[in-house]
Amino acid sequence: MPAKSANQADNDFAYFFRESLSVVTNSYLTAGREGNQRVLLYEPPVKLERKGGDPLYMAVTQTYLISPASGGFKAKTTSYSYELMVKKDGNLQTIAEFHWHPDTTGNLKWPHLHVKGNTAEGELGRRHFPTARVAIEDFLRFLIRDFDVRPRLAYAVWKEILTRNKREFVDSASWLYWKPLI
Amino acid sequence: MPKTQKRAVGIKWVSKAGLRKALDSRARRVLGVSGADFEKRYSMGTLGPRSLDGKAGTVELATLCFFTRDQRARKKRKSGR
Repeated sequence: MPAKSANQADNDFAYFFRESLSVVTNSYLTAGREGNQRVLLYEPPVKLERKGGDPLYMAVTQTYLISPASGGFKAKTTSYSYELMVKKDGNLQTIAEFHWHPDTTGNLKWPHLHVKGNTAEGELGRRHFPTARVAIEDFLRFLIRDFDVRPRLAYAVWKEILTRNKREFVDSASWLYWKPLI
Repeated sequence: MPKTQKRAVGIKWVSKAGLRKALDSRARRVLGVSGADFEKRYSMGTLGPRSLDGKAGTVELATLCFFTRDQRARKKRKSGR
């Protein structure tokens, strides 16, 4: 359901995003605006504790637009970047990045994944593996499940937050899959 | 905002100067150049889509440039043509 005002649409979107992030971090999120566009980001990347092994780092950049919708206002994502990193020899090195940035790279409009990995084919880091649209909740659950990132909240609490916010995202998203791949 | 939930990370709204600081931090981290240098190269068009997506963390710099550039100056230039 659209929000009653532009401010409410803005606050709601940022709140869901911030609440989902609270599952793995308590770092303040930086926010900025330009006209009806907004950006939420972590720079520098935030440290994530794990159940075992070296800590990981996460950088997030999310942009969205507040626009009139039927009978109210809606926040629409205009790009996202969710990046996972590890520190080696004092430098942050990327492990994987989930991207969608149609306005910045006109010839690459679909959501995609970069994976840092050396194979017989060579380095894969700048190949664009097509994906569905990835929500911040998907990314956070991926970190917890596959990289043993330690949630800050009890299991029942974080699971409820990510499930509820993902459902909200699915219900309100104008698209989930990029149909015209090429 | 959902009334039943009170838990969320804090948010800090920053001005263009604050975003420029974030841009500078990121540009130094991923490209080893200042944010101002990146903005200059980006506005001159010397960084195409392939360059932007050619190194981890670079495309986000271009995204940030939209929020850090001086919109008034840009509009003035346009109307002057």
